[in-house]
This record gives sequence, C-alpha cells and structure tokens, in this order.
Amino acid sequence: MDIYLHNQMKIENTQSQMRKGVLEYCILTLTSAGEVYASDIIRHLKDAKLIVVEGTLYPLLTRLKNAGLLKYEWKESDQGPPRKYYSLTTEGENFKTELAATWTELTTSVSKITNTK
Amino acid sequence: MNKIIQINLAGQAVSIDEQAYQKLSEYLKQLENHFASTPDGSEILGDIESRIAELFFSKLKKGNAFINDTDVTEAITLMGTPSDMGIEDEYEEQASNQTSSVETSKKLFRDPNDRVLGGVCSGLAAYFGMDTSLMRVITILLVVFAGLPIFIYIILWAVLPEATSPQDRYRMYGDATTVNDIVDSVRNEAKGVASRVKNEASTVANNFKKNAKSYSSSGGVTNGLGQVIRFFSKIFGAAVLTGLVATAIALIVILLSNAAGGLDINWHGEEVTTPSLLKSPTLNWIFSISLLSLILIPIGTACYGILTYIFNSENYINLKAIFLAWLICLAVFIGTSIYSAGNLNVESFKTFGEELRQNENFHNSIEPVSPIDPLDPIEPLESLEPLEPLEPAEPLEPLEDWVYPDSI
Repeated sequence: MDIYLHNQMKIENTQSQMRKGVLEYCILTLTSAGEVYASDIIRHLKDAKLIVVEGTLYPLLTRLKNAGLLKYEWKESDQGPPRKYYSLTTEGENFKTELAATWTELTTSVSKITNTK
Repeated sequence: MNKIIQINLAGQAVSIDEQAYQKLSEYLKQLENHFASTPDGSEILGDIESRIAELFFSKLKKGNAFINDTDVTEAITLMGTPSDMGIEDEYEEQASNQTSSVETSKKLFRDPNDRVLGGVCSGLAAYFGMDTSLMRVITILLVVFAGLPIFIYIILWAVLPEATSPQDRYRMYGDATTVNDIVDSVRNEAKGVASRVKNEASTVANNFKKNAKSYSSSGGVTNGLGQVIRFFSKIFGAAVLTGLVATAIALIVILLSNAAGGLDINWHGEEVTTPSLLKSPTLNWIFSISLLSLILIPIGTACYGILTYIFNSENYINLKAIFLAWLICLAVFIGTSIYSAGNLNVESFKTFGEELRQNENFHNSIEPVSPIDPLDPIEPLESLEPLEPLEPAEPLEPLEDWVYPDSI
C-alpha cells in the first residue's frame, strides 16, 4: 500500500474522531434551548459549517436518544407530516454541563500550546 | 409526457411525476440497504422520509402542481448520499465498548474498491501484504488443481465485512499478522452474521409494532409487510441459490467429462464409457466448453444477484459485459454446432448402443427365460446300462502240428 493513502487514512481517522465529539457537544447545546425541531438543529450546524448534508444528523440524533441523553415528542405541523421535537433529558443536561467544562479546558490548553509554538 | 402518481410519503399524500418517483424510490432503497444492519435503521429512515416529505410539502405549497425530477434531486443533495450518513461510528463504539480500547489491530475485510467477485482475494492479499493479482492466481490454481471447494470462497464472502470506512481500510492493511488473528477475525465475523440475521428479524418485529400503533411511514418502502416479504424472499432466494449451484455442478461434471472424451456411467453394474459427442477431440472440447459457458453465465449471474440481495451488498455486476460474453459463447456454440453437423460421432454411438444392448441381453440370458411348466414334466431319458467290460481274450494256444490222418 502506498504511503500517501496510508497517511490520508490516518488524517481522515483523526479528523472524524475530533469532529465526532464536537458535533455531539454542539447538538446537546442546541437542544438545551428546549423543544427544537431537527431542521432547526441542522440549520445551525450548517451555518457553523459543522455538517454538510442533513442526512448526517439523523443517525446521530437516534444514537443520542438511545443513549438516554435526548427525548422527543411528536407535534402536529401545518408544514407536512408530524414532527419530532427534541429536548434534553436530565441525564443529557448533566452530560452537556460536563462537556462544556471539558470544552473550555480543551480550548485553553490547545490555544496555549499552539500559541507558544 | 409524464404520468403523475400519488404516493404516501411519511403519511403525507404527495403528487409526483413518474420519473421523479423512480429516482426517489431508488434513493430510499439505497438508504434502506445502508441502514439495514443498524438496530434503529428503520427509525432513522423514517426521520429522513419525514424530512423529504416536508421539503416536498413546502414545494407544493409554493404553487407547484406536483413534485418533479429537479425537486427530488434537490432533496437528495440536501440529505446527502448513504456514505455521508456515517453509521460505522456506531459499530466502532460497540466494538470498543467490548474491548475497552480503540481497535487498530489488523482485521480481515473484503475490499469493495478492488474486486472481481466479492473482493475476498484483495482483502486476503491486503491482510498478508501480498500482491492482489498473485493472490487471485493462487486462489484459481488452488480451485482448479487442488480441488479447493468454491463454497469456501462463498462462505468468506458472506462472513467477511466490507471495508467501507477509512478506519476499516486502515485496519485491513494493519501491522502485525499471526494465525490467531485470522482465526479471531473469522470467529468474530461469524458472530456478526448471526447478529445481522437477528437485526433483520428485530427490524421486522419493530415495524410490526410501529404499524400496529398505526403510525407508519409507509410510502411502500419501509412498511412491515414489505419487510416480512423481503425477509422470506431472502430465504427463498437462498433455496433457489442452492438449487442453481447444484445444477451448475452437475452440468460442469457432465460437460467437462464429455470434453475430456467420454462419460463413465454405471450400466447394470458395469462401468461403461460413453463415446464423446463429436469425433474430433478439439471440436468436442470447444463445443462442450461453449455450451457450458452458455448455461453457466446466466446461472452465475443469477447466483451473484441473489447473494447481493441476501447480504444487502451493492451489486457491481456489469450486465452489458456479461451479456456480451454470453453472446460470444452463443456464437461459438452455434458455429461449432453447424460446423460439426457432419462430425457427430454417429458410428461410435451406434456401436455404443449395440454394446449396451448386448450387455442387456447378456444380463437377461442369465435369468430363466421362461418358467418350466410343472404339468408337463420332461420325461427322463432311459438310461443305458453300462456295457460290461470285455474279458480279456485268452491267449491263443499254439496250434499243434496237425497231422493229417492217414486213413479216414
């Protein structure tokens, strides 16, 4: 196997690991406003250039819901089919607070290192 | 001119033109395959369908009479391709929960980017750090000359996962190799097959529950009945596959032995060799091989199609190329048939038939021809008395000198 492909895989791997954690944290933060609709979350994430296509979000939402961090309620809509409105569970609330603390720590640490370099 | 049809998408009635409908249902089918092995695949799919329905709804509200091709393309670009919807993350999470570390060890995969059939050879080559072509040649040689059964390939095809994500590809090449690694990965994947089957069953069950709650996202794509039909059609497919493989094997044996110059058959307990179909060995060979390919190409294609259907993998088949190959075989077959019309091994068949008949007569003659009628006993022949042995003749006494009487 050629070295280029090998390195490319390593980069993609690291990038996806980095993005994965951040994306989860952002979804939890966006949901903490309470009762948000999936396409609202998508709009914010798209604006912030964190995701490119909408399809990426749905598997993530389902996973966070299965992990007990999110819950949803069906609401009728005049825009089409009934919608799922997401909100945080208590566990999700705690999870988000912990992640927020970690994120602040991480950004300070990382900026310290990259600045001194 | 296009037909407009009404479909039920996530519980919404949507008017859509036929071409656009084809495109949409193809896309949803792709997603369905992609999420088939994910535990909550049907839920994710339902979310996506709802979202697409909503996008369409807003289009229709703007005054469009129906959904057209452009609208569908727009929605698909917005939602993204199946590969954008990473579910391999979830797999990894499950895996790392079990081993409590990020798995970087080497693993056996199939390589979807470099495949002839299932990508098994390229996966093995990557695993052993070999050249892929060399691996393929070795495999073919083993199959043809050492009698490695083809079904081992099919089992590996079924059991090994495809390396789809960059992580998978990284692990496919890996670092260290031991025999234990191979045994482990095959064992783990065997579990994977079981859980894939289990997932399939649980998706069916979930869909039933969902339909019972009458909250179904129908559209004819994800409903419970469809799932059940799909599940059973897969089982049916497996049965058909077995039949096809058996037929193919029988045909291979018959035609290859004809190519090799005759078929050994057992006729009334005796080994007899049938004469080959054509007189010329070369023609006979070409004839048999082209007839064999003519039959095996469609059977093989069908088998591959069924396999990809059963395992929800993508179909890489190039029907045009296969049809072309088939046409070539057909041409060769017709050509040899016409050319060899006068080359039929008629005399050999005649003598062969004669031989068989003689054989049969011989066997028949052993058995009693007709039962003896008890009412008509055969009279015993009068036995001749043995002749008494002749007594040995007494030796003649020497004649005395006979004296003629002097006086009578």
